[in-house]
Amino acid sequence: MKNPIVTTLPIAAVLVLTACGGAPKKIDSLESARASYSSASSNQIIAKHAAAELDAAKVALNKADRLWREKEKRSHTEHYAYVASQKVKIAQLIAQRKEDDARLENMNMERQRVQLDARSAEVDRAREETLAMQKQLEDMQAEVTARGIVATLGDVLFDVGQTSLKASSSVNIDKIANFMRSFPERTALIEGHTDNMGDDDFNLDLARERAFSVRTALVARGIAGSRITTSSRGEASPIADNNTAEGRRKNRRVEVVFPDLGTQVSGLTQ
Amino acid sequence: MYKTLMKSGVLLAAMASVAACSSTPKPNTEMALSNAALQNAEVAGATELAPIELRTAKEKQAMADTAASKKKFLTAKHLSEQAAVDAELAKAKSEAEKSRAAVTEVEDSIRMIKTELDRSNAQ
Repeated sequence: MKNPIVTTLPIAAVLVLTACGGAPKKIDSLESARASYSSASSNQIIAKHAAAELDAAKVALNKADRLWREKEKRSHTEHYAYVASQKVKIAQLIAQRKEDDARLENMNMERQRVQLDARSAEVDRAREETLAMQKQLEDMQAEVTARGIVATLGDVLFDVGQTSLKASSSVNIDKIANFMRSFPERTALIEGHTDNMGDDDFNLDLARERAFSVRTALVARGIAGSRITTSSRGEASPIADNNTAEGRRKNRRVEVVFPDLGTQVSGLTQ
Repeated sequence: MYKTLMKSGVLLAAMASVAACSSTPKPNTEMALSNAALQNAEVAGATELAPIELRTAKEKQAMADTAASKKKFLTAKHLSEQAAVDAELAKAKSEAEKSRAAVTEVEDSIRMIKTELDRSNAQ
């Protein structure tokens, strides 16, 4: 954008010399005011948004023209040419602002739309995650309890009195490992349990060793040891009647507890 | 410095216009209008958003006051009129800047949300 002030400097100098005398052929500031007015007034956007400013520019321009034709002092023409140029600039800025304001309105709607998309994508993702978790819980035959998610591994894991895992247990361990891989923020507490046959201390030790065997098997499958703690309940927490063979079989077990992570699990309880 | 020089060109032109042959009354209306225009510009935030335009307007207004006190009324009238359009320009520029900044801000936030969305969709 050409600054009309720039053109004024040499003219002002000339003015001092010419005073009220005869006029030269052209005045640069008037020429440039005319040019910027004609380009601005032929711009649809400026004509639409800043008609009043364009009118004011036109009035000033006409005044400058008239003074020039009437051979008034050059500085008077200069003055109105300056006013006209400034009015044109004002018109351009007003038009730009109004265009921006209109865009802003559309963009605010666009933003709302995008925000909604983002939110529903988040809901979808959370739902998918919940479904994925539910499927794995079914796989592990886990239950959601007050302690968190509890997967119970039956006595098929171990031979009687033994603490090393049977080969046939690996399917069950795999499921636990898969779950822990899918939900890397989860930690696990592995609890060993026995029936009430035999010595208390022996049972405590046996349950501890078995819990630790499960931990070792998980670590061997790539689960970080730092996510897994073990403990032993021995025969202290039976879930069935120890007076029957079936009850004792149920009591011999390893429980893998995944404590709740705030809201993460709450969706699963229904 | 160069700017000041250029500006003084305009001022000189305006002052020279007082010259010999005029009998203009004191331009009370023009001076009041330029005062109002300056206030409007400041309200619009021109102090920060259009400081150069605002300063130019203020300088011309001060010179108009001086000219008026010396009874150079035509000079005072022209300077007041220029101060007024300069102040209007400062106001228009400030408002345009604010709207442009608002547009940029919303554009940025839309882009951010979209990027976020794309990234989580890619997961």
